[in-house]
Amino acid sequence: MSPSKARGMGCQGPRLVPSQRFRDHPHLAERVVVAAPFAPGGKLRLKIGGRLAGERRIPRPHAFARHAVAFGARRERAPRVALGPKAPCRHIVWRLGGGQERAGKGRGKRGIIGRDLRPVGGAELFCDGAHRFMFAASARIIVKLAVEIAGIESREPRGKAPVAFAFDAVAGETGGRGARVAAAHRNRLAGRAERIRIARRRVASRQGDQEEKGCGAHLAGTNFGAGWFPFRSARREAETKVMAKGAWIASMLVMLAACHSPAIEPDAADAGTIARGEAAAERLGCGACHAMPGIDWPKGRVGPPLDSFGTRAMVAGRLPNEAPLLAQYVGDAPALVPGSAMPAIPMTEAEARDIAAWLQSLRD
Amino acid sequence: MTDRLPETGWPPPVLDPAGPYSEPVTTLAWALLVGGTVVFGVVLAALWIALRGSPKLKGRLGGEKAIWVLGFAFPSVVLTGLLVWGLMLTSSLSATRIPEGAMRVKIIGEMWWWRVHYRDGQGRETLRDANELHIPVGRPVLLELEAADVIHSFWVPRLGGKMDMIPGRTNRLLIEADAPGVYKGQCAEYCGGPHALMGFVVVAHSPEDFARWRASRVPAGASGAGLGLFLSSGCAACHTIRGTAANGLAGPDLTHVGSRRTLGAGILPNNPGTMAGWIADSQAIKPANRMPAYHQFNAAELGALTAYMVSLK
Repeated sequence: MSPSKARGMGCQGPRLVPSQRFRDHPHLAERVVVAAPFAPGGKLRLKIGGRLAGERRIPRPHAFARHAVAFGARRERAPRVALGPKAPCRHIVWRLGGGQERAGKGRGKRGIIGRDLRPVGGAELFCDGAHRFMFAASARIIVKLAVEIAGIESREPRGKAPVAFAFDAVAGETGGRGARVAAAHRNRLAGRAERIRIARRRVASRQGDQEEKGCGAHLAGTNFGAGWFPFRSARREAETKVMAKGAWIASMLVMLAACHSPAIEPDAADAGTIARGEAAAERLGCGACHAMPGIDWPKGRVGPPLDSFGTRAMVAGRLPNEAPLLAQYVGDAPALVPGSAMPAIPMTEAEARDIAAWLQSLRD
Repeated sequence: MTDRLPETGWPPPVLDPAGPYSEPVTTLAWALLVGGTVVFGVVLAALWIALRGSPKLKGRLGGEKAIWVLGFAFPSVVLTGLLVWGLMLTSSLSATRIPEGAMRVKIIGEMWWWRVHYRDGQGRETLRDANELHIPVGRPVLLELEAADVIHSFWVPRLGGKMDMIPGRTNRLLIEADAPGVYKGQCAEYCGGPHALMGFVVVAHSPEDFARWRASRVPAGASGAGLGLFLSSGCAACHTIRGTAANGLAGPDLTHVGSRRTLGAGILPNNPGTMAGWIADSQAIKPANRMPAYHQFNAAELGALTAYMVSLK
């Protein structure tokens, strides 16, 4: 999701905007602001990466991270940010070169989360109408992830706080359906609403201060943004840390997920399934008709190439690109689309499911 | 019957013999590798002595004795020994003596596929097929290898040696499988464009299964919705389906194409999907092969033709 490469559903990828643009933009719910606290914390990064990598591929999220940092540093470029290798996310390393105070100190530290919370960036995501629904759907998955990650990370009773925070954050961003679902989940899961409200009030006042200074890439009415992350006191340090982590993870993940197609499955296929699907597609000779990424030969021209299949909205121009339907179509196309030139192909149901999972994982 | 046979992937393993005619080849290959490594080690040691060794060692290496021993006696003994041993080891591979009860098959290399003519003991042709050879396990098979256009080379690494197919000559090669299974082969002499896509499959059955397979070789395709299309679209000009008017000889015999394990000469699995893809645009799969792409069929026609081909068991 490099800024120059528009994705299928119209998401232009994050790009930098002056902070006053935030107010002018008509669709509040379509903005995401991200703060990227930095400090040692590679453990959490690995956890996020591991979980994400098992779920699906995320194309080039580091592009986003770079811009976020660049924005925070008020620079056109952020030369101290080393980009990780291409997806999957497992390999991505964000190197943040320190906050504003440390700018100019040369090489950055590895890691993304830590005690020394400080805003280093913000970015804005522009979305079209279709993206909003997608956003809401993916946010639920993302928040589930954030719940797990935050729980593991905090290892303390307050581990639930970031959960609520994350839900709140999502609710604030997605609006509509997603917000209602998220709010319900929040109330059920959090159980510490009082404390959270307190935290939010503090946040709000802090946000105002930051806005005056023109530093906050944040939004009135939304619950996450750069402005309140530096909020820090000896008494509440641990709490703030945990909450900020949760919010940061959620916001980051939402950002990443937002640039995926609407065909994200609630239970995304694991890597093993995808690998089995690819092997089955090769074994069955799907390449006789379809050019497929990752399969060098054959590259048939009878049917459409299957690159980026996971980002397509429709299968065969008729069916929504949903896993169970796609699996059925892979095995017996004429049953779903009468008159299709793609014949029924003898394969097991498991093979069809694996192939469908693999096809939906093709997102580059 | 053949669906459950163990199958090895691509490329076929070349150091995994599965029959008496490939074992000596593998043994010889390993022996040469080990022997060559030892000799290479000796040479390196001599080099080291020449460059870094003590004067005493250098003196020994440069002496007349060393030249006689290392330069003359050692290579003579090693090479002569290897030659004698290698010839003894591989004498059984020679097809100058045909074992009792050997099955005979004539295989003709074409650009870029294989004609397979099964023969009886007197050399009379009993069955025609293409790109796939069915054999019983434990019985030697004499392959009479010819070529119709350019030089090809027949090679099924797990079952036997490699033998060139030369236009105007008949070369003979023995193969045998110890266990039922599917053994992949490959043309091993560059023969033009899609040479790399000129594969071959040997299916080894138990004797009972082989008899059953042989008995099932009865032309089945005398009727069917796709037959009219096959005849009217020009397919019959190149392909034969016994029992029908299709009697072309330029391309592979399709009488039993539906029962083959592969399409396009050992390169694609055979199922309705690959069959349709091959018919509609074989040029995309195997560029420059001699079957044109049939873009003119609509989906229904392609479906009917595919169903008919698949039904030719």
